[in-house]
Amino acid sequence: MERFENTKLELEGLPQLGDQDFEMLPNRYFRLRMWTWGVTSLISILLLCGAYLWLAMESESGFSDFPSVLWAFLAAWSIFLSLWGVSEFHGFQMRGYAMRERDLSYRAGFFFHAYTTVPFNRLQHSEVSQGPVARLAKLCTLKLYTAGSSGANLSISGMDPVDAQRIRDYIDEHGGN
Amino acid sequence: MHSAFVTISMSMAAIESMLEAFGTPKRQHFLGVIRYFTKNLYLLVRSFFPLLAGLALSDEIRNYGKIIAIAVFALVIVAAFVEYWRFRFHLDDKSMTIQKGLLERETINIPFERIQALHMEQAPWQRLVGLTGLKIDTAGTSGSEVDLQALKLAEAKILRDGIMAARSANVSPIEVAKDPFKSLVHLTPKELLKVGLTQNHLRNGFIALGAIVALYEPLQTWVDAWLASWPEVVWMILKWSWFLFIPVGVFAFLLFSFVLSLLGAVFKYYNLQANLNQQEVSLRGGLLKRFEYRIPLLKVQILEWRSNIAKRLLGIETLRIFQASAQESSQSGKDLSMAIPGIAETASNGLVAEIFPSWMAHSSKINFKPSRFLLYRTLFLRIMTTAALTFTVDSYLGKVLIIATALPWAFLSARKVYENHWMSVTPDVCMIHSGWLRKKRSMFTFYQLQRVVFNQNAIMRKRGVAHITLATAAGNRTFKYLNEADARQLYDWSLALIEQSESDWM
Repeated sequence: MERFENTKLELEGLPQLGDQDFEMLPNRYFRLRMWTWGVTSLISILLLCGAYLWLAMESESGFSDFPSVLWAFLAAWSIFLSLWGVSEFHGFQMRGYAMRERDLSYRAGFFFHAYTTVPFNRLQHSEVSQGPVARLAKLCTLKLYTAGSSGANLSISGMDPVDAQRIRDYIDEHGGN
Repeated sequence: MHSAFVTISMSMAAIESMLEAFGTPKRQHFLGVIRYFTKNLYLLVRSFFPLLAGLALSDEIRNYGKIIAIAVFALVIVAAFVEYWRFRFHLDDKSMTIQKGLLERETINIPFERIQALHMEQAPWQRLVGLTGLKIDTAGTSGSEVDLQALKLAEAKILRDGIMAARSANVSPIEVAKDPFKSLVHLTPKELLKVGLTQNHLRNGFIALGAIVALYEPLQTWVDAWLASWPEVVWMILKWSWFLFIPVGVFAFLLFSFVLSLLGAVFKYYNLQANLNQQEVSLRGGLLKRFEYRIPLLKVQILEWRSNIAKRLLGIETLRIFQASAQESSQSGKDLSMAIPGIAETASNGLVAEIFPSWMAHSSKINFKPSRFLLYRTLFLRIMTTAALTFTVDSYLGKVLIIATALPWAFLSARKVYENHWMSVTPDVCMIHSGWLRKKRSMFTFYQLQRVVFNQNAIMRKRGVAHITLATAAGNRTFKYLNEADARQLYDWSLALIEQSESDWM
């Protein structure tokens, strides 16, 4: 039985996926993410402070015999929120997709950076989804599925619906087996 | 040329006899009713278990217990008959069609090229009545796995050989003539002993211990009563000399685990035979529950060998062959794979030569070593663990002892882990090695990959290190802590090979 044979690959001639290939997502997606972070932070901090104040009013000695676990939790939560903010703010430039002739790549993440490439000739199907908030912001999520695992293997959220449709049309025309 | 012709006419004969036997819609053997009955009863009991427990406690309902039980039984029996009657299947030269359904009618059509593997399994009850089960695994999103539970042995063989022949006739019309088969593994009692001896005894022992502890709860009253019947003297002796029993206990536990895993190996792998046939790997064996699996060579996605120290000393490894899995089956955590225990290196090489011919042809392979970051990271983590351990002991001597043993161990093991983590690559095949005491290596082709992932965290980015994940249709394999330049090169290399390849990947 003869399987796939291939001649030696010239490393110099390899097409390289570089940073310059990546396109940024629309700016309104950045604003949406920052708003999400801001609103979540504000509401959670306000709720926490309210709860702590209420606890202090209830107990006779006020803040003085407050359990230190609660203070530690407040500190941990604020650190988490600020790290989240940093990763949202600086991470946006590192978020983007690269469309090449035969594949689509997506990268994201500030503290944990990853990029994934799905070749079109391995694509099973694609999907565009849009939640209510995304619809208001005119954004959508493009999902690509390949064989071998459950769930989407490449999921690009915050795409312009026009771009997403253009990519799908291209895949329909050129991709597939 | 002549033998190629013989092969084709043989496979034609197999297809013809299959079409003759299964050309028209057909039911399974009548005793299949038993299988439907037990399956439905089991499902019913499992899904209404809390309800049943509640009913057993309520007096009023218990009075009607007999009537309810009879009604439920009657219902299950009728359902089993209907389900048996409705399940019909037939084949043509391209596909298998199944009609089934208890209330709703359902017709499933499975083209042969979608069939990944055929498994024959014979449980003790099936062996008593001369029947066998045939499981047909398919790749596809509709999760249409076929489970025929009551076929006569001869029928099942005709069906299996016919499907295999028809499938390969569709895939590649010309077969290359080779030896009828090569034996990969044949577990004679001596070989079986080797496999049994080299299993993970401790894990088996702890699982059994867990089962015993879990069983103690419901049996508590009996156990307590039994303990209370012991004479007072025994307790007196135990009270003063319990520490003497620790080594005895440890020894008993070890012996127990050992015997247990040996027994397990005998039941599971009794008279196991793995053969490399013309286009497939077949595996059969088993003491009580007999099985027969076949995987077509073209469907193999990953080969993975695992071994521990004992296995390496005896020159054997466990080989797992992975096939592409449908999305549904991987969701349930089950992958399509076949484990061949006790395979020797020469047999492994024969299989590799068959499945990845270019691997053997390339004498010069490129090796990728991980970054030294891996070494420092492992060392750092182990030293931190040692430090944490020293805080748990109070005595000065204890601290010194811990440092004196754990620190050299940390250095040695970090070094060994680093040295045994590497990757060997030819232009189209890739082998990833990892592990030190328990070694693991997996092998797959680049062109069968589905996608490639590169990731690193902020610290790794600063140090120029990255992980690369190569995803096949049978699961992902990750090579960790590569130098970033190597990782990028491998990334581009894999993509170029996937995108250039014209071959079918499964």
